[in-house]
Amino acid sequence: MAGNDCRDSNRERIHGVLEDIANDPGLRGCIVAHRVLPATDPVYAPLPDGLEPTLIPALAGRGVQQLYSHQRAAYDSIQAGKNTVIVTPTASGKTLCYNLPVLDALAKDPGARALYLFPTKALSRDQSAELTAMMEALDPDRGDNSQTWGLGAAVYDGDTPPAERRVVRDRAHVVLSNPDMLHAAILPHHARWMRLFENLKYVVIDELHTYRGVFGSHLGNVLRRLRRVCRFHGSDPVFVATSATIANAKEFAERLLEMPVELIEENGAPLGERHFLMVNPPITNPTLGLRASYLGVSREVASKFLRAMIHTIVFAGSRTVTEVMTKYLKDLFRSRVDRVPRVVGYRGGYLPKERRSIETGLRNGSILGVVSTNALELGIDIGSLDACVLAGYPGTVASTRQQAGRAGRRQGASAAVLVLRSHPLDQYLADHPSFLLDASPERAQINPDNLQILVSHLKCAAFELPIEDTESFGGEDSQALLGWLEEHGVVRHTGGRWHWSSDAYPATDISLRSVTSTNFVVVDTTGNHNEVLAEVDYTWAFTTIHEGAIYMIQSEQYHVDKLDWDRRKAFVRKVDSEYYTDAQSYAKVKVLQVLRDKPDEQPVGPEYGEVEVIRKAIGYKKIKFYTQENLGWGDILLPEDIYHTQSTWVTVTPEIIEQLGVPARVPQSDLVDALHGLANVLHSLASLLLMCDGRDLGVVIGDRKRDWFLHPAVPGRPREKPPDEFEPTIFLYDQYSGGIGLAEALHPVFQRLLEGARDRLLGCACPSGCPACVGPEMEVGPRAKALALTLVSLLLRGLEPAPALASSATSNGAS
Amino acid sequence: MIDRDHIRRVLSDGPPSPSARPAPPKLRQVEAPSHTETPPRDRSHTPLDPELRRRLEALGVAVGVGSSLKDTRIRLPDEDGAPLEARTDLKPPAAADDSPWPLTREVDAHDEPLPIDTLVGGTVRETPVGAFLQIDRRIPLASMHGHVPLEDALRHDVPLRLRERGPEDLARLAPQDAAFIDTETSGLAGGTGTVAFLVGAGWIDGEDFLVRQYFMRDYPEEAALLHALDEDMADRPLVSFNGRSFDWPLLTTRWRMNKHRPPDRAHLDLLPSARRLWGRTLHSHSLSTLERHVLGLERGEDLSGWLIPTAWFEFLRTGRAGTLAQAFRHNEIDVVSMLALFAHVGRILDDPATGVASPGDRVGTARLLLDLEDPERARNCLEAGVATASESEALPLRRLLGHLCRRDGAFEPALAHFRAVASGAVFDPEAYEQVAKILEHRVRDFHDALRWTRKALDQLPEGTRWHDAFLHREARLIRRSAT
Repeated sequence: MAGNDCRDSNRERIHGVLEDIANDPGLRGCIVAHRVLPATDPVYAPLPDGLEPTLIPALAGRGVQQLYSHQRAAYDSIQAGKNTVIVTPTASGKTLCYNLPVLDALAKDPGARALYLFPTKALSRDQSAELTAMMEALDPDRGDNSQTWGLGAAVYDGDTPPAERRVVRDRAHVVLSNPDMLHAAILPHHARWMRLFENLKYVVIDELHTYRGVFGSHLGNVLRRLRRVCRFHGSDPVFVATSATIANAKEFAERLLEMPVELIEENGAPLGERHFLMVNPPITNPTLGLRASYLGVSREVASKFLRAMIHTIVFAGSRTVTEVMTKYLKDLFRSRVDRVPRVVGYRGGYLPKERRSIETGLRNGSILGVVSTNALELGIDIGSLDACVLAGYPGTVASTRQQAGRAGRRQGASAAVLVLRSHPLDQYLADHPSFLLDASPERAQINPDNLQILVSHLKCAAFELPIEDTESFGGEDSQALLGWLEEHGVVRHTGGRWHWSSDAYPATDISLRSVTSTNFVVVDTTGNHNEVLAEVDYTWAFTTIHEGAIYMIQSEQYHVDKLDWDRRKAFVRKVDSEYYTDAQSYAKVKVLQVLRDKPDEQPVGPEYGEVEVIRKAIGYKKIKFYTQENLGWGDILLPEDIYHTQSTWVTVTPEIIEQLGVPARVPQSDLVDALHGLANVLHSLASLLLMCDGRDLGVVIGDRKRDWFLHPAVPGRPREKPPDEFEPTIFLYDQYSGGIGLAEALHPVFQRLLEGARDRLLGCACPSGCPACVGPEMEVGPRAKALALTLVSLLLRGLEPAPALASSATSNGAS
Repeated sequence: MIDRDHIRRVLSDGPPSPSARPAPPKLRQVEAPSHTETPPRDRSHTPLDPELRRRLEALGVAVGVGSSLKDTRIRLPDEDGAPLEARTDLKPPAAADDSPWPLTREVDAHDEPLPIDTLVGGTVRETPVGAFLQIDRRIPLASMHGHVPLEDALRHDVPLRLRERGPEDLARLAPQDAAFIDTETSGLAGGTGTVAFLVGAGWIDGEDFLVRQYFMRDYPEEAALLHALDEDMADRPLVSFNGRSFDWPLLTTRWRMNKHRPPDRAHLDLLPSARRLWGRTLHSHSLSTLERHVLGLERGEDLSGWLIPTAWFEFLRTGRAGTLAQAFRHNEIDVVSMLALFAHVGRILDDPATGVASPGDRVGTARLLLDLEDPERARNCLEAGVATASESEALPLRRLLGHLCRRDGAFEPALAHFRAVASGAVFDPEAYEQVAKILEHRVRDFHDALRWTRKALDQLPEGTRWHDAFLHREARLIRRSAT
């Protein structure tokens, strides 16, 4: 075996590129952090005594003589019947943590069944191959006693051919599926799955951390339904979850499962030497505080790795950036005649066949570089990558770790380079790298009792099994909700039970991944072929496939000629465009109900409640590739997207406005600029404080009483002037229908948010605003930064209770 | 009575708008017949907190309450693909304008609800797990159903089909043993939330065909209905129409939901046979189409299948059974039609040479016989057709005959059949290919084979798969005829 040589040469090449980066004159002084995590040694534990003896040679055949400590801990916990969540890094042998106890149980009791849930279809295929290989090793004479193992492990999802489904239902010992399938096809037909549900011993939920937000809130309800169905069939399975590192894995798992959960987080697996670099692009215009484009720097760093023939993954923040970056890297190597490494793009929306061929190419090494959205963050087996470039902070500590973890296996060396954007959040991290390097990762937030989600699943639950008068489902008064559903004629109360009483099949109306369920298809009309190119989900449609958009896939450009909104189809034509498009939208917020009022004794205070958000895409910029030059503007004529959600907001009182000198000394337009700038900072820092993805949180400035809202600047159209009597409010809201608890979590820490904003404004070295604080001066005006600082200080002072009425600040008006 | 607004809504393109939706019907106690023990509807649940109501109403249509007949038709969200595709009879008529909807007698909406048993008759039957309503009707076997004498059923037995191979598949099914079964359900979507509120089962009882209908007057009666159904069926094999993918899985689910072990039965589904037999001559294979075209039966006024769930929910909510009563008649005709269809299929299979009229149906019959591994009779059926049909009508029969002969090694008649097809008015490249193949490989007349090949090439557009294949053949034949 040439293992050691490979390891050493891999290490040398990585070190070579890192030196190259450090010595690059264009990047001098740009490395704000370089942390090396030395290789760590494994901590082993012996195989458990009670293990089914036939498993021992099967494990040995796969090179497993002993376990890592966390695998043993997981086995012991699961074996003892405890619900267990395992939190260890990428490539630490997490799969064996659940496969071992499950196989052990199946070997001891061939009647037992297990259900594995993965967030994506690709992951279930991956794991099915792994599990089948283990089962075969366990049972080499399969031909003779196939009765023992039956079908073994089988995937049940939308791609499973109808002819095979029945066999999977009756004979698979381990069913691998996804929450969507469980929700829409398995639970509503649970009587057909009697064999599974009567004997269900284990439910495995892989990649638990992906179930944040809406998806998690839905999953919580799907699991409520699953447990009801299991009770009906007389089983009581143990739940096992694995997760990337998140701050509150135990609490999160307990919220999802609504049961106590044992946490296992001591990693016993070895790790190779890992480098983590943070690169802040150089300042190119000191006056304006402008930095070189992070895309350019990311491209440069990625190409250094690729030139050294190091398998590299580039994570880009958005779909557009993914496509732009893929084009850049392809262009870069197109001109090189000597060796042409293959670089491909990868993101959601590609058709499954294409995705699978990319995955295979990555595994067998025929693809050297891949540019991906967070779609490849999950544990899809793409083999061993050695370098990772993160173009921009992915928005969460957990994502950063997951993405960086894509580079580096158990041996050798690997490097991850985070290239920071000119964005308050990224620049805050440039100032405080330890925030990222040492901080605990995010808390995952879900709200399974979101009323809209809860009611949807209550309907599904009634469809699956009549609901008893004594039963409760979720956090609201189920009986009252059922009464409401009866008023609408979908359930019927009779004989002490609520029966589903409608011809509808409720699960089809509910998509777990979003609140709306309809997708758009993108139809390529080039050469009159009319081929389906991709799918785009509802929320993205407003900004990516409006008429006039350049829709990009595999860095090919398509012009959207027509968007048939009603039929959910976009017709595109292949073009060779010199620009891409960036859609602009604005939102209006209407307060429906204040749930937490401002305390009377405070002049200023955050409030929290339910709001209606009206989002509208208004137009798009045409941006030239490479130069980022703005080439023009187009209008978007699409309907509004209206939803109800939760918000925390703060209103600037007339007193503060007066103290700012508006309008006596300071024009009102400057105040709007300052609000705009402050909102930018608050938005960035709120996502940091809440440990959530910035995209989950929306921000809007408006006057509640006078129906005025700040629009993005539109060329040729003057901004609507705010009213003279002006009481502006900054709203921060959950960008999901119904809300997922972000605004609610923000309310009690609002003071810390304002303090953080003040610190960022004080700490930023730019003279009068830059993308790293309030935003570039060109966007927010020359006086925004100074005025925003005064504004935030006044707001902070206003949060102090008036001296005479000083009372407990902790009560904070919660009612 | 018909809710015309509802029909308009369902037929209109968009989903029902919340404003167009009528106020939820007032809930009324079902007027329980004096002799029943239906548990009274209890409404003891906690009243809705006004605050909660406000929040629910704010969610509006997003909660998606209301009928989605339209959606279930389109999506057919059964997990096994689309087993409902054959239930084309369940689609609503294409245009409401053509149809004045005289589906049922009008019952004034203000009428007091009529107890269901005064409309449909029947008696309450007690079981160890409760009671339900049972309606028995006897139809003398001596009567006609359309132009089929029901007693024909007694003269033929039908092989149990088929799709799943196995020795028992070819066992003969005697009609005296069988139970003919059809369900009316609360929806077409399947899944555990769909119930069979009315099950019709028919079997031969002496001189009569006895149709017994099992009806639950509300959900709590389901257990009793299912218990009695299993008890009465004893171990009779089943005959159904599309029951393999619809009715029987649904009943199996219902038994399981009621913790009753689902019975295991031999099952003859008439749908696949009907498709084989009439697939090429009838556009639709629904039972009602077959009734009209094969059995010669006009149902007259009938409740469309797709309206039945609505009628059931309306009955539950208001106690008015006017519309629902039509479903009983619908169900009964379905069950009797199955017996008639059984008789008809039996007659065809017993005597394919004379039992089939149209040449198109002969092809179907021959294919069914081939499925049943009876090539002998398949050939007889086709040959009898060729003998009686006009030359052009005989072409599809000759085509199949050609294949049968070739399979048996009878190349001469095969060649004659394919030649006839190739010379027909409709260009058939496959026939040309068969002619060329037999000439080349069996008769070894390369020149003649080349002649047929070129004739085919003349008629084929370039670049097609067929064209390429013939080009290839031509090249080879030129080579072979030269040596």
